Amino acid sequence: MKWGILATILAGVFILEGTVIQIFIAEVIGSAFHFLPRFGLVIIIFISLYLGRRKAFFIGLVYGLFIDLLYGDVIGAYAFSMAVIPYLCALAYQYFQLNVLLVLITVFIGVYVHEIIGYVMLDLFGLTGSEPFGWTEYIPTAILNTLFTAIIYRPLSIFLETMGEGRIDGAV
Amino acid sequence: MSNFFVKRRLLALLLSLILLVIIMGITVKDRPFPTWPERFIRDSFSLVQGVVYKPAYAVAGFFENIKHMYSAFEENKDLKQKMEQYTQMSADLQELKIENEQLRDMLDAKESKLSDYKVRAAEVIARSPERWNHTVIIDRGEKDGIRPNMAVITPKGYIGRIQSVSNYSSQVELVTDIERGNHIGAIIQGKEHIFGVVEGYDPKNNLLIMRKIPMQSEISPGQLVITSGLGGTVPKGLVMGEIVAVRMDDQFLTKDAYIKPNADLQKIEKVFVVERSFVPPTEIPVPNPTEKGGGTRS
Repeated sequence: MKWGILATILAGVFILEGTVIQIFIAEVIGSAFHFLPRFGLVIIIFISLYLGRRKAFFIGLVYGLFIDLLYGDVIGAYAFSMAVIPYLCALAYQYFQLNVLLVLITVFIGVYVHEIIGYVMLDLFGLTGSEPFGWTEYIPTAILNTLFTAIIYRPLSIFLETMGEGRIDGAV
Repeated sequence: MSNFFVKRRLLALLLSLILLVIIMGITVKDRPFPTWPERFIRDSFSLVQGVVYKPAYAVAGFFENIKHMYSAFEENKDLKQKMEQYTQMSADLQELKIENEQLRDMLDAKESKLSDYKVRAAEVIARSPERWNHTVIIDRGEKDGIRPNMAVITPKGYIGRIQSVSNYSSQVELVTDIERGNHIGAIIQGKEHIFGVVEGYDPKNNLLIMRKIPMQSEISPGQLVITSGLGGTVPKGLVMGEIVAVRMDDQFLTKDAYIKPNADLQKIEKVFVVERSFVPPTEIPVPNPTEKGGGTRS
């Protein structure tokens, strides 16, 4: 039941990323900075922090695979980055207590690194053209997703705590 | 089984990495007709996305309208003035058309087959939320007669081509995704036509780049660029945009023209898929002396 709700949330966010959010941030798509919605990634990072990194790894794999299938040219690029980032986030968390500030920082770094991995994966197959990676262009993306994290932190953490028995630190 | 993977984690990791790279390598090619699982997933998502996208667009459009209300008065004045010129222009156009037809009759020249096309209306249902693929998904697919590589336009001009087709939805590669060998033959309209290929995109300024224009050709900002219809499935005469800057290329041998796309690529709601009536043969035909003066000249 709880897993069903979680899957529905993820599917909903996946559809929102491609449709509604695209319309409302259409104004800024063309500008030099990028506001990319990575809300699915944020939720999967939460899952990895609260429910264990193994589960998050496979959820991220499936989620990324859907992104690749629907929008991408290459199958596997986003599946890889969406699976690896939450895993690494949880790995880094073994030694800390969970609190809001640390989660925000994790999401910020996680999303930023996700963009870097995405670029590297596509660049490997020459899909990015001759354009170099813009280091500053992705900070707005990270900020946007951190704001999203701040909004959903309370409800999502309460929901996930009822799902698992608290936090499973590396016990998977 | 799970014991095996726990014991040999490194092996499993390496194997899955290799598998990943293999899958990426296989799928990196341009695949106009995806396999059936892909089609199934795309089609089923396109259903839901279509339901979500339209109301959202309507809401966004509503806010836009409120913003526009403030500038409506000034705009109205402007437009009225333009309207008056337009009457004159359409009268001229009518005259020219008749004259053109008569002259063609006199010369016994056929209509150019290059600019002949049919359109199919389609609606956008989603857009890729990422940076490196500029993909838009539309709600018409193979069952509606859409085929790969057809041109996609909005009333304002050319926006891209069909990249891959599922049964009830298809993916459009936008013109801004041009770096991947998605080159389009184009003409700069002026005193005489200058042919060239639009083959680059400048993401910083949102401009298309037309490269390798001969040095001596006279081009200046403000000239229109249209598709040339030479080769491929893009018909002639679709508006691409307007030149905003001309620059020497790196070797100082040719010129680069920077083109501002005419269609608004950020906000796309309804599009038309263009089916060309005449698809040029891949082999070059031997010229037939009796068909001299045939309409393929522009």
